[in-house]
Amino acid sequence: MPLRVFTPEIDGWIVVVGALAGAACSIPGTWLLVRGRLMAGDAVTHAVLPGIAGAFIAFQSRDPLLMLAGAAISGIACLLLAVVLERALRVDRGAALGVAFSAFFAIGLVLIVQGADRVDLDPSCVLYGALELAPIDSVSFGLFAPGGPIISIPRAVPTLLVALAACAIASWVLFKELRLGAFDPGFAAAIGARPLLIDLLLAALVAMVSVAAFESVGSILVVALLAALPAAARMLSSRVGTMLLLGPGLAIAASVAGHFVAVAVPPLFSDRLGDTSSAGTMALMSGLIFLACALLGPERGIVLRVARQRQLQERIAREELLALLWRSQERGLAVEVQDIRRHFVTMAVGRRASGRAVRSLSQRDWVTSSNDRLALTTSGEREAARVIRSHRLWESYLAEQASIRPDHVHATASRLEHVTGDDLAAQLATETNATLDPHGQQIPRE
Amino acid sequence: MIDWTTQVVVVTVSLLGAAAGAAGTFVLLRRRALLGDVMSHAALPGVALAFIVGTGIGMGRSLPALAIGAAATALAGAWSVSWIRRQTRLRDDAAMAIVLGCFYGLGVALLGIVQSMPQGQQAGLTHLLLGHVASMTRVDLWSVLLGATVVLLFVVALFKEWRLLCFDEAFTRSIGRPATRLDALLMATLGVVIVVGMQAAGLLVVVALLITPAAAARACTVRAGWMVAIAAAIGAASGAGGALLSSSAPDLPAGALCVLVACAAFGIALCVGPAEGVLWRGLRRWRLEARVRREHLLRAMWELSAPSAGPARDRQALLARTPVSVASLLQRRTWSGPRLQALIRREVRMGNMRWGGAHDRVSLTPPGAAEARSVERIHRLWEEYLTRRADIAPSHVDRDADVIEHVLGPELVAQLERDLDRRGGGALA
Repeated sequence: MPLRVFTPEIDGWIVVVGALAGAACSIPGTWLLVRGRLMAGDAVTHAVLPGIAGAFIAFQSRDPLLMLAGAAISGIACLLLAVVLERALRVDRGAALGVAFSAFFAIGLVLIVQGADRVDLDPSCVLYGALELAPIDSVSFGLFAPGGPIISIPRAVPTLLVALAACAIASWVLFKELRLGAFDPGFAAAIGARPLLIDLLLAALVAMVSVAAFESVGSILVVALLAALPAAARMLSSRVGTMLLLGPGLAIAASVAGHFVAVAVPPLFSDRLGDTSSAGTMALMSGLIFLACALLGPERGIVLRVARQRQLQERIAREELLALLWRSQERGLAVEVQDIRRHFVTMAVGRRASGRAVRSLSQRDWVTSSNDRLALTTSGEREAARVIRSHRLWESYLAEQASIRPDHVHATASRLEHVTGDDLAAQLATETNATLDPHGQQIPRE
Repeated sequence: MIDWTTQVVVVTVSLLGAAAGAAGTFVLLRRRALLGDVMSHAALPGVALAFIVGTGIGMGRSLPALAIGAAATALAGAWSVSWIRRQTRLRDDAAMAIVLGCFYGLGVALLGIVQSMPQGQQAGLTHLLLGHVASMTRVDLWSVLLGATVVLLFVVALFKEWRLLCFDEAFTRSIGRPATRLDALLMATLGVVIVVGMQAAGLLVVVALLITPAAAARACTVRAGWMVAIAAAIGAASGAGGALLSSSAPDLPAGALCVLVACAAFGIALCVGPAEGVLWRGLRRWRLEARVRREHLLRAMWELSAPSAGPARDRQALLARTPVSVASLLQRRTWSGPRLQALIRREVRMGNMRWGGAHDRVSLTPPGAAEARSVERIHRLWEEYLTRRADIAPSHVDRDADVIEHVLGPELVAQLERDLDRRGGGALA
């Protein structure tokens, strides 16, 4: 079955609403992330339920402002309860949050079931959201201009824009306070920045975005956007300001990719399947974006780190091999490939590593091999001398200056020799001023 | 009389509560209380996937398949949390929130597919979230019975190992216990609770029963064994209580009632729990303060009544007869007149002091003088110790000794005495 045609009026708006929700969530999410309180976001998004239901029941209206107020009140109340349980009553932080939000959520369910005759509020709608329905919701709430040209935009767009603007303004105005409270709460309290007040403001922001977004992406999916997008930004940068700017960009990517997957993937399996929930796939995509950033990120990316580790391992294996060859030549012994394997196995380095080290040395023309015997070339000798020199210099230094017994210095020197540059070796030479190491062997000159 | 359906529900939910309470205690003690929350949300995609695959190969809605799917993704979620924590520099809460949100998103997307399948409408998978405690079937009873038995067996069999793991993971490793495997077993147990619980009672109930009874038990005792037992009991009681309440008020959701009963138990435990309960903590604090005030009064009497030197025993005898004016006592410390009066009245009642003159003077009785002497002695010992051993300037030791003398026990005082004697303690009070 061919992919169904994308229509700007429907698919375009879905992507816009999703991106706006993601962007609005990413800002308070970034602050929660740097403050180590992301699960509080989870709690608040659950805890808005009784506020929303209470507002419905009390005022019999779907007025977004009333809902917002109700949700903000119950969200903040839940967080306050958790803070009191944690700080004053010494309950474990996670347990305090868990108890508080499950209680609020249960109350919300009771309220919804009680008021079911009077209000049409389906709890699963609150939980899942319906991003697909966002474009349809524009007519009934067609906002601008009775009489004039009717511009119909989804109701979610202005709501989310307001939420996004509020988060952006709050972050802009209180940037210093928020950042300070995140990294040094003790100092923040000492200079009178009121960390508790900032926490509550943050709770209010989270409550606001989850209410603004719950109709379009569902209250629990808000958690994915709150957590995964800022965490992805964190993988790309360590600066809070940069993270705040990256978040909305990643949100656009997650929204586009999410909606595409929701439309394109189900038909691949069966013709009868329609689109799935774009909100769900958007959450999934934000998770995958996080995964990609964690793997490929600069500085701390997992791929980069593993590659660096690998490089280091190979360099150490090369240097060990050079040192082995030098020592054997010093004693006038021939070295065969077998010996090298055995040496590497006793050092708990695998066979393959030893093979790689031999290959990489011959590629550099540092060793020549004939009849399975290895010998250092002139350039190889120069490299090997450097390794041996730093090893023996360290041995002398440790024995003389650090008063370590001569029969104990070898192991430490073996580790240090691989991380010693020329400058350090020169400094060691001036410190020790030795020509022989503690075992009476010659220290090679530069 | 309670009808048969209600009996099934009560038994099932209380078994579930017992298992969740027992397993949740260990998770709480490992400071990962919200992991149950994360894992139960992460179970959703497994359920949906099992349904889709099951329908695809013609098995339809098979309960074991759904359970296996749920357990698989729940454990994958738990593993992802620890992977993120190990591989990135993100903290626990961030790892948990990412896994919770994204697995749940996948679940919602898969449920969207289920709903657009022709068989999907009657799958009833949405029950997994909000629960359908009231419409529980006998299959649920058996699966919960099986799950709870497995969980409780694990808890009994691995209690010692898990306790060790909770309190000192590094030590567990160092004595050669397989900490990683023990942790994985704990996660698996949690997975069992979540899987059987979600099918029988819904996600909300499972999450709440994993966290709340354990937190309540934490307030009741500091011993891990009792904690597990109490958490299991509270879990069972809140399950049964919620189910019974909802049978008498059928228009209330039973799952939410179980949660609220558990929260009420938590509230009560937090107030009157013997270990961390607010009431007992307050009482202990109040007793300490009362003792401190009383010791202050006795020392003030000692200092005022006979400032001159001399062997302490003679002073004690002298002191018992020397009256001290209340006005001068009032100036010794920052205490209000009425409070001082109350303190003196209490000591008079206890026979440690007696009034002199027109209630404006007091003196110590012989037993009171003996006690004042011992209080003064402890104060002096601490002053000596702080001056000689802790190198604190003599002008500062009085205040420091004042703080410390009330809170350290008699064994420590005896040791202090020996310590100072060895170094030539001199004539102390």
